[in-house]
Amino acid sequence: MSSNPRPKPVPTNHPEVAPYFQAGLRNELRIKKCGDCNTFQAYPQKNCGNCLSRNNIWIRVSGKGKIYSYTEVRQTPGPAFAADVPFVLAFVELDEADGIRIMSRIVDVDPRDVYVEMPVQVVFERREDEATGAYAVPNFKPATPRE
Amino acid sequence: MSVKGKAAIVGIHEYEARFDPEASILSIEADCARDALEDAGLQKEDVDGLFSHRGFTLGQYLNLSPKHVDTTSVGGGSYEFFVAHAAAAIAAGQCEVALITYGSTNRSRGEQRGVVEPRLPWPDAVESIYGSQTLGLYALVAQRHMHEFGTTSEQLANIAVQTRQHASTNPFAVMRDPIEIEDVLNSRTVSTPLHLFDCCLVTDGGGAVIMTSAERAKDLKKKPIYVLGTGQAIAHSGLGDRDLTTIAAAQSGPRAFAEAGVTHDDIDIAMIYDSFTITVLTTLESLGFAPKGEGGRFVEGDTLSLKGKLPTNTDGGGLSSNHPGERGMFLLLEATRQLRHEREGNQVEDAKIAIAHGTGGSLSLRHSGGTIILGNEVP
Ligand SMILES: [Zn+2]
Repeated sequence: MSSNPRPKPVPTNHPEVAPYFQAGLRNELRIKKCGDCNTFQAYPQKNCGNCLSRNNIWIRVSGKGKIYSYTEVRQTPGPAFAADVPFVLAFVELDEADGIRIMSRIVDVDPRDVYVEMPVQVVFERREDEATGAYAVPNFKPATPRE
Repeated sequence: MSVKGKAAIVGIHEYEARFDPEASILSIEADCARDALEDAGLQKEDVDGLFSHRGFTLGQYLNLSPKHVDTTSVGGGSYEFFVAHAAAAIAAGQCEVALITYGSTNRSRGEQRGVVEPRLPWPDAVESIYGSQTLGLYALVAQRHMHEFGTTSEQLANIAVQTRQHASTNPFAVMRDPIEIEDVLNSRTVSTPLHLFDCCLVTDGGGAVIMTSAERAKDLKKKPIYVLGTGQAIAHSGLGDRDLTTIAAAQSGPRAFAEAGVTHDDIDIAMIYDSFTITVLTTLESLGFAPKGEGGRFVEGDTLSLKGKLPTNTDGGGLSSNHPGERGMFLLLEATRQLRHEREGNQVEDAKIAIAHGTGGSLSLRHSGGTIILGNEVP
């Protein structure tokens, strides 16, 4: 691999999406919930995915959940992620927000110890980009029993 | 309105090379169009409907001025959608001779793979930041299937084994040496629980299909292969309650069976999109060939072999023959060869009715499902 790795792709700083990654800088996981029909949605979108209303607001959730599925990625998915391999890619089902399932990574764990249904807790990974500035990506780590 | 029996596939061509740095996408499409027209006994001037990702660009390259143009783009399943759209257009009189083309230089231009957009739009922004690419997304499906239903790596491996057996008699297939289940399990783990031999190849390639009305088809060179049923669907994560193991085929399949008026027992051969072994398993379940969760047991033994209950991917599939990125085209080509009874070395005896199911996009996330049922007569 090159000694000067390709930078990771950066999420758009469009206002439809940016608050998701800015909330992470404050260690907050925020999810969209419709103010009209009360539907939670897994993806940050301006219009409610159920009734299409624009009254779709950010709700803070605890970030507790369990693993719905996972994979230990051993073959690099492109130069930007070569240094990360192996890593655990997963879908996490949140305990709140009607149990929506979101994509994430499972971190701070030996991949061999990961299992489907494992209780997890959100943890944020700060990244920097010249144009966008700082933003934070929500990952998950095994929940500690007392939490 | 049903399109059953109103249109037929009358010409096909599969690009033979799997690695061709001299070719361009458009030159591959042009080669395949020329040879498919020759196969049908038609002239370029007969084409009045064009179905390709590259609408006006390909129109210029081929110097065609069709009166019906369709640039549907739903990934690898696009070609099953094209057949459905062409059958409807022909039945409605919007065109009479449809040309469907595909070309790809994925292998020879491989250095472009793995490069992602520098600034991710919705919805990639919350996916690609994690390094989620096709391999991992399908591994997530396999892991969940194993968790819910006890599906095993051995069962997935057997799909690769059976497919390789078919490739062994296809002179154009990239991988032709027969393998055993152990060989798959001993190939390196690329993304748990998937092994290297659970994954498709990356090749160049392309193909073309010529369709026309059932009436005009009768006078052409080759035996017409009729479109009996069509089904289209897209599937995605909805509001967040994504189900990894039920795919778009669960919607498109019943639509196609209903239009064709046939049952699963009537199907002689199946061409199932095989980007990964798990793709085949979930597709067979979602199409209803096995109850949900029992796909693993269904694919054990020789079910998918030439003499089995459901001969599947008899050309060696994407796992062993070729996979230029959108493999839906080749499902149609192999189904047609089988129903014409011209599949030397791998002919399924007396095959009359075939199902082809293309998947585009990515399981786990957004994907398309196109189901086409074909027959060498109209039942
Ligand atoms: Zn709403």
